Amino acid sequence: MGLRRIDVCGLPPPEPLERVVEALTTLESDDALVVVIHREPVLLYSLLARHRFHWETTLRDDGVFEVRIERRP
Amino acid sequence: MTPGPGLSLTQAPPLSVPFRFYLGAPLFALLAALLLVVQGPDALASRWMPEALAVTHLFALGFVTQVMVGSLMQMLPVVAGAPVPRPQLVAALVHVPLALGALLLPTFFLTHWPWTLYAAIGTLGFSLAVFLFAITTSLLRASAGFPTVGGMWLATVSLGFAAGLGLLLAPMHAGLVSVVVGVRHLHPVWGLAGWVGLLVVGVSFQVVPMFQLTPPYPRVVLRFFVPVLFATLIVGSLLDTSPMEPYVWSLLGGEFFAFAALTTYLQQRRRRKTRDPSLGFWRTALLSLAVCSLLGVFRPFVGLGNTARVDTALVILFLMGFAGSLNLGMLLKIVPFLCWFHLQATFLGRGPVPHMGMFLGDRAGRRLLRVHQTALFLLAVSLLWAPAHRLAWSAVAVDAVWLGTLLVLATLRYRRAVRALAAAST
Repeated sequence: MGLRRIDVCGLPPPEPLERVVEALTTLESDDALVVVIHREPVLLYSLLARHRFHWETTLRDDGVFEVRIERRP
Repeated sequence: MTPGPGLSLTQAPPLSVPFRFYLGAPLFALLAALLLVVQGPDALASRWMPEALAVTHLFALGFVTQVMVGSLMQMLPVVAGAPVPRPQLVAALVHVPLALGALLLPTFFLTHWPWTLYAAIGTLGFSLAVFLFAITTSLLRASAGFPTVGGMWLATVSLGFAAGLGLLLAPMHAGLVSVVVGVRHLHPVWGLAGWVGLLVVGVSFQVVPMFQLTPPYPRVVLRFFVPVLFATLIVGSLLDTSPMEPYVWSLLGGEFFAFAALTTYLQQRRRRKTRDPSLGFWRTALLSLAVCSLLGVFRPFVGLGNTARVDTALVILFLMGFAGSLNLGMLLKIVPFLCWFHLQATFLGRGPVPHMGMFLGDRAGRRLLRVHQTALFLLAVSLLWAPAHRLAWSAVAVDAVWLGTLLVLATLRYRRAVRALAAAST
């Protein structure tokens, strides 16, 4: 299982979403993608739900969000 | 930790929700401009002239409010964590009567046919009631707090006041009761400074640092600025027609000038110095607001000889220069993004989704900016030199047609992309 990590902190919208979507298109079924982002990506959740991805969001102490995304089996 | 999927798909309303408001909006701006081209400069001799009232409502309701309502329904889930319930139904119930009312009310001002006034009251009253109910339901569930959600709350209350004052004015215009001067003055103040101004200020506190990578607004501004603006509106309304009233509106002008100056200062200190056309629209809007605010500040002090013309200038600068420019700049950003986003929502991983610039690119945006700035410059000239009136409003008509064409092209490109991706993925 591969783990990829992309940091989109500080990028103006819609660049974070563009970069995450690009990464999702190449995400294999047993890979996980961790997105590090400075605000909760509400619209990304909507895309993930629609395309049957599973995600977990953690709010770090420094106020940064980490979203771990996997394809649902 | 938030496990997914637990979020409703209604977080992102369907594309038709904002687009139904956007696509028709330029038509109202075009109608307003053509009306002024036909009527000539006398139509704006006073803002209480029937033609001036018709044009103001075509632009304020048909263009500005339509674009703002469409955008608010789109943005609420993102900036406030509060989607509008049943967005397609609400959008239809708000949009159709709002568009009809935005045509019927100006028709009444021009023709004085009583049925058009009653129909306008019915359609606009219904549309705004549905919108206010939906937005209040949504804001009550908002997860975010001040200043953005607070700004939305106070803007919503202001829209309610403006609509209520408008309803009080209707029987006065119908000649059923005599005109109460205070009501007539307060209606545009709450509609423009309250509904448009408070919403723009509240949303700016979040979107300017987010989209333009500026430093954040100072904490004291975030906390107190919107409530102070609202309190000034309330005090000015309570002092209505008293000798103190003009000075309160002067103070309100000063507050809006401070917002324009601070936002311009923050934009000068943005981290990424790219010059996308939406920034140009922002700067045009803030310059218009600054000039408009200064006119408002000095209006009671310098005994401006012809206040009717000053009032006309204030309304044109606020509606066309400030609100109009911001709406155009926002549409340039949001329309290509929404086309791209909704294609990804359907076709992610099933084929190459075109880049956002394919729907409405920066080059087209820069051309629109030049057309818009030229129109505004000519409008400013026409305010000082009446013979430029027809040329200026013709330029506004071109501006509206240009915007409408860009929006229609973006929609057609979106539909073509849907068909191509659907065919490729079957």
